[in-house]
Amino acid sequence: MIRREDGAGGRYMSEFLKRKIFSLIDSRAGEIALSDMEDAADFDRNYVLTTDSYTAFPPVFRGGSIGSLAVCGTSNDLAVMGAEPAFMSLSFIIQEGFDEDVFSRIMGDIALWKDKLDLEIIAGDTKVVEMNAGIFVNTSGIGTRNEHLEKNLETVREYRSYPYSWVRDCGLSSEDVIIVSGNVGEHGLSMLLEREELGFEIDIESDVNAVWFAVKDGMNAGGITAMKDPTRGGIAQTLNEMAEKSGAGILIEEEEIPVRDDVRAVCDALGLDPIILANEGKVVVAVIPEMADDVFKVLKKHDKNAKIIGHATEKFNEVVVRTEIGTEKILPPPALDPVPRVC
Amino acid sequence: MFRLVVTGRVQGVGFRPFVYRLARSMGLRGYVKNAGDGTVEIVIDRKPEEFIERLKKEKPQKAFIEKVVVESWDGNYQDFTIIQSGGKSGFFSLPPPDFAICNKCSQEIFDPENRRYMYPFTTCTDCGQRFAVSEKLPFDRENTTLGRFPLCRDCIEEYQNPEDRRYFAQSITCPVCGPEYRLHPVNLSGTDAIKSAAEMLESSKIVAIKGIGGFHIACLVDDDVVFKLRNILKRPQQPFAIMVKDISAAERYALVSSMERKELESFVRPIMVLKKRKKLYQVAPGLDTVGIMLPYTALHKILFSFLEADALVMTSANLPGEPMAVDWPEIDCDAVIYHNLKIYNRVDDSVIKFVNGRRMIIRRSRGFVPYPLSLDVETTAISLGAELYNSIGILKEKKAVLSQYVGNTANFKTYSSFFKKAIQFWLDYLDVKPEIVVCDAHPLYNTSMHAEELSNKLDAELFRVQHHLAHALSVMAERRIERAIAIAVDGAGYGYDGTVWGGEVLIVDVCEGIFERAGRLERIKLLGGDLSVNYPLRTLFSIVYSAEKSWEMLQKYERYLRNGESFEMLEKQYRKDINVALASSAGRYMDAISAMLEICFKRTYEGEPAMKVEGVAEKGEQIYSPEIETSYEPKTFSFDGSQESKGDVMVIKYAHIFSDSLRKYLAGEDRGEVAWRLIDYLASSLAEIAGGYDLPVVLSGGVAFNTHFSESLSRKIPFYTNELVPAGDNGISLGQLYSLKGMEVQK
Repeated sequence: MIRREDGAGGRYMSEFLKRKIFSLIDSRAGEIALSDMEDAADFDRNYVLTTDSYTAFPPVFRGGSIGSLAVCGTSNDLAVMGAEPAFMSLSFIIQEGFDEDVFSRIMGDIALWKDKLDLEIIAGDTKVVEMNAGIFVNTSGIGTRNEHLEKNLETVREYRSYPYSWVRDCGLSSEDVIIVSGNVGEHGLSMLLEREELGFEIDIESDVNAVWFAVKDGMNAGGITAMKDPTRGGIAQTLNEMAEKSGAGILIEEEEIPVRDDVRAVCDALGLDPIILANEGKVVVAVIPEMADDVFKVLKKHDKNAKIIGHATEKFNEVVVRTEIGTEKILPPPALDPVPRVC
Repeated sequence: MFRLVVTGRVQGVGFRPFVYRLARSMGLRGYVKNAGDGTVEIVIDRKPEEFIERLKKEKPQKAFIEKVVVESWDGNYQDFTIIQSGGKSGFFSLPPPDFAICNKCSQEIFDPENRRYMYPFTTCTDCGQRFAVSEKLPFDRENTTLGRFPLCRDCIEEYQNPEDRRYFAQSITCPVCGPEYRLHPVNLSGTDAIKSAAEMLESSKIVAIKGIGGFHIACLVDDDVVFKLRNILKRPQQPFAIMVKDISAAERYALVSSMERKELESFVRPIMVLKKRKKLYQVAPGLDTVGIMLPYTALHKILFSFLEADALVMTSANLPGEPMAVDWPEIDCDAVIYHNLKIYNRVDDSVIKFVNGRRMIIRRSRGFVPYPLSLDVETTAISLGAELYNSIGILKEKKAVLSQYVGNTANFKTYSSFFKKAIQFWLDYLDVKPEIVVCDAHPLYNTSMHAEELSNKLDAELFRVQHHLAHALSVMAERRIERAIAIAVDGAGYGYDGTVWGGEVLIVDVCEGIFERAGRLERIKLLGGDLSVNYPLRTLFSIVYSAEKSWEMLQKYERYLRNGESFEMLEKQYRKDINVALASSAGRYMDAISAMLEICFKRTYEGEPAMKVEGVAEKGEQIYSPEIETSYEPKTFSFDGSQESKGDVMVIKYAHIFSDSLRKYLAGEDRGEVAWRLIDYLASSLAEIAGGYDLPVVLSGGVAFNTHFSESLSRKIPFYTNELVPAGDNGISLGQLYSLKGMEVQK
């Protein structure tokens, strides 16, 4: 039986993928294989491909809709490879009886982000089904090699060898500085509050956004060795993936993690940790130490809440958080449900 | 001629010199030697009966003779000699634990004529550091960190003279050849350093002290100074131990029974948890007990000789959860008194408490490690314990050695620089190549995650053992029981159904390798998971709400909520199951009592709410009788968790009892009695289930340390509980090893 956690990100999902999928099919067209679990894979020197399916409840929410998620999310998976989002496909599975106005709103968001990103949607499919599905959206995206990526790789290679032709998760090395591009946890919390009506007085919306613009400028500054957009599982999941794929450890300063005070307060009241909540418009960037300030300044121009939160290290290979009182704890990849461990 | 083989605790305790002197005094010929298997071999030419009688009667204080086997022997000896042992096999040539300073050495350090006058490292065959300085086996001086201090002529003479009480003592030193104390930042050494440290302490300064197994941090037993210490150590409430000058000082601070006195003065010299006599508000806030120990090194004795004060707060010098400092304390203090003898093995003070008349070890470390325990399991294995109060277990040749207290492995420093290194140390030290690695079933414990890595590295099999099964097995291992009904009560352990277990009645069958969940507490919702553990009012809310479907009765408690919290919100979280975990935990049951009785609303250390409840509870009248329902759910499990089958599990209901108690408390009933009744209800209900089987009953888990619980339980049913290892998670590594006996069956 396939469990919920098998598709929820985290270690159960990667075990599931290894056991059930990569054991049967695992291919590569270029440098990146399916089982590398990168955000996108190259199929030519100049192109990368990605695909993603979206579910959201409610489908239209504060700050956006499943439409904005579908375009931004897929473009973000391309951007964190250093690729410029260029082409997309778009597919819907829609429940019979789905509200037409809501659908129009979703399409409006898709058109809006397509224009903002200046990309083309060139293939698609629509199915209407009887089952209780709401709406599912799938987008695939093609990203292209670009001058910003070249500039970035060149800068990195001035300081160290970097054997990859895209920005890879495994590119992280000891001493690299870790930057997060803005406040974390807002998409996850906003969706939860909207769904459950818990009665908190907090003005919060999804942070859904395309990170390409910030990434492009960051790469122009140069020196980025790894990037990921922290969606499901939040930055906790992202940092763990970076650490695992690169073999480097990461030390994070708890008090440097940018979280809005009111978000922190609500999370605290519910026993949630903002670092495991989803984001839809943020990027975690690793930069060679010499270029960290330059990249940080650029990212700060895009979002004043960007923050240097830590650095990579060879002293250990886990993700470790230094708490506000100065003790250190391991930040494990998040589990789906809370698993209490305190005696 | 006769050959005697003596079994027991006979190596490393001055046994051979004693035998030598005894044989000489009786004019016997022959020899004595340590055998590689941990026994002592004696050959004598006559008078075996008289010799054995005197052997047993006059043996050294720390020796323990299990048995003496006599056989006839051929040989011809001119004299009686000590034969130096040849190749010892690692596992059986363990050094004894670190012993507290003996009486003779205590006299020497205060004798101005003695060459060790005021020498803080004074030891002999009977006492001093052993395991803490042991780098590898066998326990010879060059294999300890004392090897860097070659013996002077006088010391060599003592070492080589069989008539001397320091004959062949590996840890001896003296002011000429041994390590010395220094004071930082004042540039003083030796006695001046100790005297100056004493003066600083007397003037309310906070001083770190390097001892046998790590750094203590010390200050006067004065509320203002202790408050300052609390801020430095970031421990707002956790009780500190105090070291008292002597037994009469102990009696000024606490009630000391004759049994407790015996423990206090034993060579383990543990921290004893004793009933307070003084308020000691800042030392042990909100508790009716205080941890007290006696000086256990020459340094402690010398320090007290310079002090007016009869007691010092003496706690480990580290931030919460971090390992005790061994090289230098990273704590902001006024001075550090340190020495140049490397502590190779960190060893924390052991903690012992008499619970309803039974001696129970809360923390097993200095004075116990590395004594092996017998365990009837035929494999070679390492067990990695649970998460908090961690210890590691090694099994080889049917002996189990538990490591020193490792502590909180959720803390990264403890995990990486103590836990992982301790694993490597013990594998090398005992020369073990484990075939099996055992860990807890919790998927997110650092120790469980490391177990995967370790089993790959060692090419060993990995077994994950359910937490409460391991608790139960720890008692069964001690008692050599193969079938029992176990009451396993603690805060939290990962259950196979993804819920938190902790109020369990398990039928454990080691021969079959299966256990049955005969009964459990009813499940309650922990609102916010671990958040509910840190703020017990959430747990109380959840229990009362499940009984009443309203929180009206809790209105008065609204002021105890945290900023931004409201009962409306908790209600929504409860009803919508947002970030909620389910728990059948006795620890949470205790937590909820602490909130109900306005005792503790924020947990700042492990077990705080429960310990504070224990402090206020007063025996009253039993008014609730057990209410037990059955639930058809997974019930029978194989030890490795791979197989399970469903059945009727007995479920102890208590939510309505809590709301009834709450009503009574709000109506003005005595809080001590309300607390007692709820604890009694817990014990009685568990006993009701456990008593229904014709099997020996064993009790384990942290709640076993609760005096009232233990007392109520023993009124209902006879039971065994842990005596050799802690009933809390510190002893779980033994149970994990014993589980392998059941695993063998499954293979």
